[in-house]
This record gives sequence, C-alpha cells and structure tokens, in this order.
Amino acid sequence: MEGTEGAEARESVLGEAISLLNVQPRTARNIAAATALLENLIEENPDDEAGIFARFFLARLLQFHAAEPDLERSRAIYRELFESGTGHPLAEFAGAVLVLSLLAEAEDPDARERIITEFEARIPELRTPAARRDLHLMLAHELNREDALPERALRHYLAADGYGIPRRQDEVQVWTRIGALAAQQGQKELAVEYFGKVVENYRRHDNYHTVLQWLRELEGGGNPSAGGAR
Amino acid sequence: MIERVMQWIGLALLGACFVIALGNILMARLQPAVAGGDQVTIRFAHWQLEGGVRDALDAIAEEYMQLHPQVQVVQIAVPERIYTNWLVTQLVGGTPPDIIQVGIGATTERLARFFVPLTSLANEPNPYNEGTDLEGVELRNTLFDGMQGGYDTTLLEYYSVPISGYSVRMFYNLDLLERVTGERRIPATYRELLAVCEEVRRYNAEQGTSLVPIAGSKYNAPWLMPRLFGSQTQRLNFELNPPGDLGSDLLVRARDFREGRWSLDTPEIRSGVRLMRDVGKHMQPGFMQLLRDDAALLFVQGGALMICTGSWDASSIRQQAVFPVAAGPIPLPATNDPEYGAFTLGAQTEAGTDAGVAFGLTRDSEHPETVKDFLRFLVSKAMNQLWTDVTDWVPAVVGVRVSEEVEPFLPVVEGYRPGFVLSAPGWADLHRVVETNLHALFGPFGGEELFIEAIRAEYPGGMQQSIERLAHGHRASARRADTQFAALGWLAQAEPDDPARHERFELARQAMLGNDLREALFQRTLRAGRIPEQPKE
Repeated sequence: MEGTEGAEARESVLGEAISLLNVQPRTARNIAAATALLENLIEENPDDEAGIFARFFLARLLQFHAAEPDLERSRAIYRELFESGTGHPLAEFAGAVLVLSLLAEAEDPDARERIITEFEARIPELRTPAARRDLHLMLAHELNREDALPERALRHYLAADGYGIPRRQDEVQVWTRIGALAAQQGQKELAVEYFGKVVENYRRHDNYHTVLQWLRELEGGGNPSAGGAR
Repeated sequence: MIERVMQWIGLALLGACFVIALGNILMARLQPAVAGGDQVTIRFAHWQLEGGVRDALDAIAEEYMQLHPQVQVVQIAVPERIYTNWLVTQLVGGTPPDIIQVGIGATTERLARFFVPLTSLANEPNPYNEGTDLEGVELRNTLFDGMQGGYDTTLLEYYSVPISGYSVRMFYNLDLLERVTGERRIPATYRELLAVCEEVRRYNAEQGTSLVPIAGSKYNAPWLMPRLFGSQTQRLNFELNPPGDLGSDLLVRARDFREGRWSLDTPEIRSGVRLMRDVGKHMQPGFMQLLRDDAALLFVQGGALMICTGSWDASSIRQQAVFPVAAGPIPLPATNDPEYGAFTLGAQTEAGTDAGVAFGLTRDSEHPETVKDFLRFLVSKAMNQLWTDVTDWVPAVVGVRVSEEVEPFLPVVEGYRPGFVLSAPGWADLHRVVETNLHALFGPFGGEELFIEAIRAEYPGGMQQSIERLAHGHRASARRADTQFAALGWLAQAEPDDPARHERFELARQAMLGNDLREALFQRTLRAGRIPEQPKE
C-alpha cells in the first residue's frame, strides 16, 4: 500500500514538473522549479517508472527548455539512459534523440561518421522494435540528406520499414526514398516494389504522380528521369 | 446656436446607438431564457463572407433546427480583416461562440488552451450518414483528405471539422474573351495565355478601350506568381534534393544557397523571375499596391478579361458579374515551351491539398454535446451536398455530386510538385526583401536584371534573419509538444494493453523525432555562420 502511495506521489511530482515546462509565460523560476522536482525524483529513485521519465525530461529540459541550454549534461543523461540496458521503451528511445543532438554539432565528416558508426553498432542491442526502427530511420535520414551515401541510407530505410512506419506522412516519404535509392543503385525490382506501394496506397498524395512516372519509366526499361540522383 | 444644436443632435444619436446596441446584447443574452428552459442556443462564427456561404450555412442550420426544435443555431459572420483580433478578444475574454472557424489566428497554443479535441468524433462513424454509402465509415474517412485539414500535427489531435475543398484558378470573362479573340475557348497552355493577353492589347489599340488582360492586386498576384516561378525550379529542386525527396523545403534550400549550389544568377532562378515579369506586365500598372476588392471589382465590371483567385471567390464573382464566367487551371509553361520549357517538369499537382473551412468547438461552450452533434450534421453527406449546391464550393465529403460550375475547381491530382520559390510569407524577413523590391520587376521600367540587383545585397541577410526567427519559433513549438509527449508516454506505460494509447504515443514519438530532425537542421545551418553576400556571376 505504501509502495502504491509512493508511486502515486512520484507520479504527481512528475506531472507537476512537466506542467511547469508549459506554464505561460515561461519564466526562469518555473524552469528552475521543474529542474529541482525532476532532480529530486531521480535522486530518490532513478530506475522506477517515474525515475526514468524524470531522467528523460531533465535531459529534454536542459536541451530545449532552459534559457541557457546545457547540451553536454543533456547528452550525458540521454546516453546514460540509452546505455542502461533496461529495455525500457523511453530509455531506448533516448538513443534516437541523442544521435540527432550529437549529429547537429558534429564538426566535420569524420566526427559524423564516428557518431553514425557508433550508433549503427548499438542497434542490435536494443530490445524494443520501436527503438530499433527509430534509430534506423534517423540514421537513414542523416545518411541520405547529409552524406549522399545511398547504399547505407537504403539499408537503414529498409530496416526501419521492416518494423512498420507509424505515420502515413512518413511512410510515403520512406517508401519513395527507398524506391529512388534502389533505382539509383540499379536495384530495379526493389524500386518497382516500393514505387508500386506508393502508387497503390497514396493516390491522393502529392508524390503520387511523380512516383507513377518513375514506375512507368522503370517498367519500360529506363531509369527515373527526374530525381533519384544528386 | 446652430453649433450647439448640432452637438445635441450628435449626442442624441450617440445615445440612441448605445441603447440599440445594449438592447441587442440583452436580447441575445436573454434569448435562451425567453425561449424556454429546454431551449439551447449554439452560435458559430466564421470569416467567409463570400457570396452564398452564409445562405448555405443558414440553410444547414435551418435543417438542423427542424430536426432538433429545441436547438437554435445562430450564425456570426466576422470580416476577415478583423478576425484575428476578434478571435483573441473572444477567447481571452471567455465569451467565444460555441463553434469557431479555425485557421486565421488559431495558433497551436490557442487550440490547446481554448478548443476541445475532436479526435473521438473523428474516429467514430457519423450517424447522420446512416442510409448512405458512408454509413458506418469513421467520420474522418468520409472526407477526401482524411480530415487532415482539421488535424494539429503538434498536439496530435483533430481540432476542427473541415467542410470544403478549394483550389486556385484563372477566371475568365467569356463574353470579353469572345469579343477579343473571336472564340470562347479558355487558354490551355502558357503560350495561349500570352496570346490572349496580346490580343487584348491589340483590341485596346484598335478599339480605343483600356481593358486589362489580368486583374492583379497584392492579394491576387501571390496566388499566381509562385506557381509561375515554381514551374521554373521544378527540375532544379529535384537536382538539389537527396534521392527520393520530392519536397521543396526553404530551409534546405537556404543551406544550398549558402553552399553555392544555387544563386540569384542560376539560370532557373533568372528564368522564374523573367516568367513572373512576362505575366505581370499584363496586369494593371501598380497592381501590387491594389487590394483584393480593387481587382475583383475591375473583373466583375468587365474591365479585365482574367483574374487569378481561389475557388472561394467563384460564387461572389458569379453573383456580381453580368457575364458568363469560366474557370480553369493556371496555364503554366509546358515542357516543350520554347522559352520556359527546359526547366519545368510540367503540370503541378494539387493532390496534397487539405480540406478547409474547418470548425472547432470552444472549451467555453455550455453545450459541447449539442455542438458535436451539429458538427456531425454539418459534415454529413446530405448537408455537404447542400453546401456545394448553394455555394458552388468544392465539397469535402467523398461521393458528393458536384455541378458543372464546381467541376473546374476539383483538385488536379496529376502533375508534379512545384519547385521552390524565392520567398514565402512564413519567411517574414526574406519575404520583405522580395516584396519591397517587386516594383523593380513589375514597374514600367523594371525587369529581371533590375529586380535581381535590387535584392542581391539584402537577400542573404533576409534569409539569415528568417532562419534565426524560424529556429526560435521551432524551439517554442518543440517545447509545447514535449508536454504532450510526456502525458501520452505516461498513459501508454500505465495501460500496456491499450493499443489506442500506444498508437498515440507512437505518433508522439515520431512527432518528437521530426522536431529534433528539424532542430538539427536549424542548428547546423546557424552554426555555419552568416550567409555571405553573393557577388554577381
């Protein structure tokens, strides 16, 4: 009984801390109060449900809500959560958030490559399919947008799609990119498969017509005439 | 003495106005009580003052009141120009009507604070569709856009119910077209459009008239010019984008600009500017100083052969014009156009257009269940049929029949996405640089070169300031979404067997990652330093 009451009290404190992040007008006092509440929760117990939420949101607070963001500390908390090996969905989700935060500040291609390689290696350790998908997806976006490494980007997009993309607006983009990347690398069957999925499922999307043209060109023995290559 | 009498008359008039206004307010307040204890009055407000809209909404309200005699539905039409001020005053003052059209001024924060989420309503079948082919279909899936027009991507909830589709079209005065060109056929291609414009000039010279080929204004031109410019950057957009990315994100284009992947001297950009000039010279001189009404009046009075505007103006134009009006897609350069064909992919798709004229339920409403019921009625197939029949606006509900008048406004699904533009209203600083120099493009002695040189120095700075401002706004939006994420995450872990909660948390996760991806792009762009000026190539 005491345990339940304690859990409820911690839930209530967590709720108060999160609410303070959104109180308007935003004041340093509210942010400081939220920080103190989250830190207390972590100090009491960093590993129960409220403790894990408190750690995640303290990292978030330091990244996005503090007047002077403390990105180093924020990343350290995300990393600690991510590497905790608990299999908790939020702790594992912290990996995708962390990799974006790190990549945003990577100084040069070598630094970016180190980050990407590190997180690629961590994916098999994750226990929740959603966390694996998210990390694959973030790495795929990064590789496709920043590095023009089509083969590697395609691999991550395909892996992410294997788990299912939750939002329709993301799914159509991922399928279009898989098709274009595959076409670019001469994987015609794969390109036809994914362009076909777009055409079949997204008749009312503004990608539709372009993808249909690409599909026809591929089926006619050619290569997509516009897009698909930088 | 006369002055004193006039003062008294003035005071008396003022007093009379005050008494009448007070009486109106009291009557409005007392109405439910006078009508009896069970009587419910629901009020809905919107800014659509175009012809036919109020009639259609009155007709729908009347149908509802006949079905539910205990409910009185009152329509409040508020002019668009004051809508945001009116909205904020009503919401903050705690006196909003039960239903408010969402769009102008309804920021995500205001939606969260003052409106009721309608997600459950969206996910349930609409009982007013019973007996139709939409019986048993979730309400959101009865709309052609899946109700995306009512969805807030930050709050991850449906907040309004849209009832109408829309599109932008070129409108033609058919009598004038015949008089000038000898036929009533509207231009299908850009070249035909130019030919008609030249015919008008020839006609003016011969007949001594001063007809304007295309009625322009600072309201109408922005519907037309980005489409023209965007036709010239379609191919370039594909070339700049990573594989399979078909969008035209100005933030990504800003990074490309910094990296020298395109400039104000890139042939596609020059071509887009020239194309705008070529069409703009067929509008009346100084059109960027004119208002929406000026252009509309010129057209309906027969002073202009064409006007470019939205489907929402069709009913007003048809009501006011004494001549037959036709409408068609904006004639854009085709791929075989001798001057503008090289950079375009062709027709531009409208497939991604969401439904509009969306109504939300306010938190202060005393009759939320009645309001929800009215919203279901409003967006039922039968009432959407009534809506399109009276307004000639595009219906939002699938399977609603459209008249010949409405057909030209149905979204064109075929076609490619338009390319990127030089600026957009959301990029306030950059937009100011472009807008304030348009005279150098459209003025009597203006042109491509003059315009480019006018914006060359300020363009990078405007881009930089816009990015900084947008980055600031983005962070604020991401912060707001965090609260939502926390709540949904907690509910999902508390009810591990509830798939609906997990589904919503999944959406919140993706929204957070989308925000963080964008944040990373902002940070990377800002960390690269100020965008340098580009010397003339």
